[in-house]
Amino acid sequence: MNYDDVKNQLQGLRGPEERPEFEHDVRVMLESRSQDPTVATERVRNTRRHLTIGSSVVGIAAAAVVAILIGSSLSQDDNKGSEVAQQPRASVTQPSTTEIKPLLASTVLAESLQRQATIVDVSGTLDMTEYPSKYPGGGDNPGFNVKGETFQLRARGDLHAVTPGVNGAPNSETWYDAATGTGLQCNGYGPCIKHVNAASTPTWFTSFTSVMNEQSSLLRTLAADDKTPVESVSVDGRNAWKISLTNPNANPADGPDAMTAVIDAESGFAIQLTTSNGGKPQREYSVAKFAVNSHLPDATFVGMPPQGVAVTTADDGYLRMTVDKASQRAGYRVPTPAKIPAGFALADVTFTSSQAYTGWRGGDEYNHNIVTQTYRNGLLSFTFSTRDSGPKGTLWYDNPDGLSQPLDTDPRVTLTDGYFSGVSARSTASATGADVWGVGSQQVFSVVGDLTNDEAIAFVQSLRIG
Amino acid sequence: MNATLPQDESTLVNHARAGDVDAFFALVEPHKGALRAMAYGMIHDAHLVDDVMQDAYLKAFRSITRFNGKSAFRSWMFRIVANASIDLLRKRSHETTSWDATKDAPIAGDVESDLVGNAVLVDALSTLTVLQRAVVLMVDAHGFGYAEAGRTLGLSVGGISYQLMRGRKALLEALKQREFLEEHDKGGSHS
Repeated sequence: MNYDDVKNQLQGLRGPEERPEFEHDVRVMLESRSQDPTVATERVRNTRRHLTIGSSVVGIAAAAVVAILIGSSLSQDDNKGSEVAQQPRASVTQPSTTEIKPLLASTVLAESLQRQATIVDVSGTLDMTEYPSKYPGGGDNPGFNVKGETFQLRARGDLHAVTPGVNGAPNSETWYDAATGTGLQCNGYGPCIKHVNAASTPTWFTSFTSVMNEQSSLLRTLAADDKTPVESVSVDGRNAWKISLTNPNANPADGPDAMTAVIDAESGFAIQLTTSNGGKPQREYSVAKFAVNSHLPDATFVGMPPQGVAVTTADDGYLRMTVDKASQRAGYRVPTPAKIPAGFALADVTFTSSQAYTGWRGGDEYNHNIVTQTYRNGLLSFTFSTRDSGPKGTLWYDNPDGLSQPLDTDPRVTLTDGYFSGVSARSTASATGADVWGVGSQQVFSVVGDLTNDEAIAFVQSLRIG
Repeated sequence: MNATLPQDESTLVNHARAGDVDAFFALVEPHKGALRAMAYGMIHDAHLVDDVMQDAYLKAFRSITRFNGKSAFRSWMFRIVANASIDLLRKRSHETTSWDATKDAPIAGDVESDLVGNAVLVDALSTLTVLQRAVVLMVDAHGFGYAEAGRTLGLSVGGISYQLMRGRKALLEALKQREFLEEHDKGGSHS
């Protein structure tokens, strides 16, 4: 074998075929972005992954997003920042069609539950069917035929969720509590993993991922109908909102062209969701029993692994600590900003010795000591991460995402060198807002999250680097 | 009109900047296969290629207003795919435990059947550093010149040359090692 043979192989290398609907889904996401930039960021974030997980989980996750989004809108309306986010939502004004549509859009596009929320406990029984159903017994769809499955969903800090008894995985249970940085992963197929030092919003928690192939069609349905009013209804004695949407221009081949959703007025939990295609029912999801509790004690959030399942403790590589302690661990003085955007406060400091990718500029990026400070303002957050720059530079700084503009082209920046990718306004609870990557005398840093351009620049300018 | 871009490409870019999704897909279409191959070679996990591509498409569409046309659209997209791949690898490096714990979880579709018989090559590519992988794929698989690859990856021509040399050597050694192991296994099974 010589390298010419290898080169021939390389030139014949092909990627796997796209999954069905890939381009269609992406296209709809892009279209939604181009049509409605105010919600596009959220839609993009919520549709990044397409794993196949039981739809009851999806339903729970999606509904929780609705609940949390409604919490979001409340705190925005009240304009009381983080304190408001900790208050119970005793009553919610009935939303207009315009207001509820983004909530529903986020419901069907829910990827994960990476948000702060009030303490809330929702429990009940799910019934869900799909037409035609290929489950149980294998087939193309591994979920959706759920009847009488019990569930619980709790939220404190970012999220805590429990989903016992879903789709043939009787021991599945996943929860994460941002307040304590602890969590448990039980996927029903092996030992559970206990996390005791997880950073804010650990990546493993995003395993609650939506896979509703019809989601894009539902979005289009939503987009096509802006006149249908929201109706007040009562379901099992609870006040709720009902909205029925149809898209007369939909192509039945693309999936559902109509949907009806019923949302609990107190919690925002979607308790019924029905879709149809060409007049034929396609999916029904409903919560047979339903209860909501707020202001739960801390003990509520102590997760228990399913009976008989082994538990191993994960080495998350993260430690939550003070900035001073993080500086000691990192071996460099971790900078702190002199100017923090109004309403934000330092919420979390984590340290990790990263075993990252290798090979940037001829060097390896092994074991850098990274300190991440997370700042929160209610539902909004941003992170400020630092590491030593080292003699060879770093991908962090040199090429953060291939899209940013050099900082030195911005007249507001005089302190540092780096890159800046901004947005025109603060995005809501999104990690895709303003984004600054820079380097001081000895340190590389990034500021990413829900900041406006001006806030991000002011934050960077106030840093004491090196 | 930008002098660097072909006229039709420049027109499509302008339309895409205005939010025309069809124009964006028309821009991407000629390069789609190469971009997917690039992503696959970078992350060596067929299950996640769609994730990388979706991320790349969204980043590209979001940022196309800042695409200045000084580089080819193909180069620009390769850069975005490379970075999306790196982002994913970086994310994976932080979640080794959970990754291991969930790798057997069911994944949509029969993805393995979509592979094109390059599993050994892709496995060997995974032994390269990320940067070596990117350089080898761009230059040797997709015909980038050193200067274009350098502009795309933010390296000098000398840097590309160095990474290419190291990457080629590592890839060849990795393939030879796999070839040896395969023959050894066959020999063992006969004994």
